[in-house]
Amino acid sequence: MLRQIDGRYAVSSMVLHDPHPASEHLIAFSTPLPLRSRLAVLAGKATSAVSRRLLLGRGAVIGGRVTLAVDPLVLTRLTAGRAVTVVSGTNGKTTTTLLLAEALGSTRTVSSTAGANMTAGLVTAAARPTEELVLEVDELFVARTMTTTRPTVLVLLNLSRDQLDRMVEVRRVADRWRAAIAEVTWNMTIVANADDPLVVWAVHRFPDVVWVAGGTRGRREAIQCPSCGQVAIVNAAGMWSCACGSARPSPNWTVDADHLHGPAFISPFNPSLPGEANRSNAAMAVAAAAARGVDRHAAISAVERVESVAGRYLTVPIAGRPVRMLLAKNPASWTEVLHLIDDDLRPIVICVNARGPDGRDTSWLWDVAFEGLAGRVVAACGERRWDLAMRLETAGIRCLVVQDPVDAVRAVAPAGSSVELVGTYSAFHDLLRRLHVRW
Amino acid sequence: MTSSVVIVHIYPSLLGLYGDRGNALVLLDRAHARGIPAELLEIEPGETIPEQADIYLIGGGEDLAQVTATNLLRSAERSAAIRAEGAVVLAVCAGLQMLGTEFRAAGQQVRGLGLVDAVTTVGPDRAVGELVTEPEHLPIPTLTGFENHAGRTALGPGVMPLGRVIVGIGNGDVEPDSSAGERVDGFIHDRIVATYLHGPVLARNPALADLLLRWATGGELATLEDRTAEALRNERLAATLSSRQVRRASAASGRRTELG
Ligand SMILES: [Zn+2]
Repeated sequence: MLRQIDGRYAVSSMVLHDPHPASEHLIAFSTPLPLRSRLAVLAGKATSAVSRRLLLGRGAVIGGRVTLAVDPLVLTRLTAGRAVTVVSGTNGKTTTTLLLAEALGSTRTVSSTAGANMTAGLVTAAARPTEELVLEVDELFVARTMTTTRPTVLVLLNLSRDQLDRMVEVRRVADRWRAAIAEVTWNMTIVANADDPLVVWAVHRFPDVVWVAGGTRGRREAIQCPSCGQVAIVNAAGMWSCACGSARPSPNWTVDADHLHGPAFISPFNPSLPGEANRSNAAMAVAAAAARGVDRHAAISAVERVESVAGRYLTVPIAGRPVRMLLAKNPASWTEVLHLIDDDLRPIVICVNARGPDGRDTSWLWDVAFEGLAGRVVAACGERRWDLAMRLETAGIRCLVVQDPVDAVRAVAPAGSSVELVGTYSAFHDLLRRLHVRW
Repeated sequence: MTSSVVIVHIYPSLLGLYGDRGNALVLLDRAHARGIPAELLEIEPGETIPEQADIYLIGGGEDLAQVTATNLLRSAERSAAIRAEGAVVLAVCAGLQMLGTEFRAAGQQVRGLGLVDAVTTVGPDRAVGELVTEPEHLPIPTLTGFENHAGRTALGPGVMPLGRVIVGIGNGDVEPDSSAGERVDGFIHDRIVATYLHGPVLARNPALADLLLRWATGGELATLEDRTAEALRNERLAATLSSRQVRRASAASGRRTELG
């Protein structure tokens, strides 16, 4: 059915099947959209609906692709006159996007993307007629999205090794951010993580930056100064500095074990999302909401209420076992996960794929401190279970190798007892879809 | 044979991009599994590279890191250990390029360490994907790994490649339109093995790990049961090669000339 969508005739015939005609929503736009853009959005929404019905996914990406094919300038048109916040970084962008949308949503209507972070997914979010947009943007799409949407706020979380086959070099990604930021001619505030030298390198010349002590995501390797290439010094408190003069900027917002400290402001801070990294994400979200004029206390209460993000941290029943669903796609997110699962010795199922969104290169598995799983029952599953099994074995962790994650859950624990499941991006989402988990 | 096999990973913070630490961990594991004492020294910039170690590992890195590491190692004093006659060295990706006479990185032409006559230029596009090669001078079976590099490396006359490329780019094309069968990957020089294969290469190719350990210990090694490594190799080769290529690869391993 989806093969028919190239031609316009096929697209418009599908509109008839859309139970929620998009034209109703589009009336809310203050600037009338050109006919071509309206058609583009209609086509995209219709395809999303079809895609959802066929259980092909959430529909955002394919729908957006169709919209773009009909009108390539649609993103610029859809975002004109609306406040846009762009969120990017290697880790935490889905979470921070969602937390920020919640915080902004306490006072206005907001649409956001979660997980569908390339241009096509952005179009689908932008097609909703809200006052504001919060866009999660893939690291390599930041420059393009900035040109097309002219964001009011840009939130930059961190850069680390991820999807090695696609990202080329993190330093080069930082260079692209830096070049895009240098071209900004409109009013924009950057909310940036002062703890990440690559983020600092990308933004430090910009006049309007709110610095947040956004954490180092358990970075283990010595850091290389992005400015001169020397190995920079990190002190015990996580500050970094280099002989060339580059150093961590003094942050406007910091977060500690119980409180969030902002400019002339301190508040108790207890996000429901687990883990250190999520405290940092929540702090970034509150700082960004404050930059959008939201009351800080309202923003804090809004982010504190969020309990799961795009299915992550949910506990779902699988084969009669309560399974906590976690996503880890690179060494930094594994550091977070290993922290999270620290408290007990629940069995763990690890599911590794190496499709496009996971990164086709699995060598990152060797930078994860799997030694921390000692004492647990561990199962390796997914399309690249043998890469994982080899890594675990070398870390001294004996594991079961089971192709299918549901079989693996059955194998590691008796019915009724809790299991942790950690998947790479595609493994995680495939399983949620198969379990019909809605989020 | 020293009492303990000492493995040195050179500048892991600069040259550890593609899970390169894994190569060190696999060597340690395979030594320990045979009751051979072994230890790993991770040497960072500013620290002295020990001269009497048994195996030196030089991994992959981003451009700027590669240039920084090369500048450090170019001082003969700092790199004396890997320059020493008979030193066992495994160099991967950026490491391979650094051992040659020159390479291009971060927009500049950089003088390499010059241990081997090999010049790396930048190719028309990045070589990213599975790489399978057939070793021609070493007594080991088909090599499997992943490559991710922009460099194309031309070997000087008399420099032996590590293997012939079956799938992937490796050192790249000699002629602009060579087919995979005419490409080669890496080089071998004395006991220096250099390759574009990561994955890490020793995790996917335990026979290569054992070859380095044999060179380092000077003795024969007990056979290990390699069920997981074998399953990984088979899965990767099956996913990467056509059945015809699998047959060709196993036929080729029967008529290999030995060097190690
Ligand atoms: Zn510096």
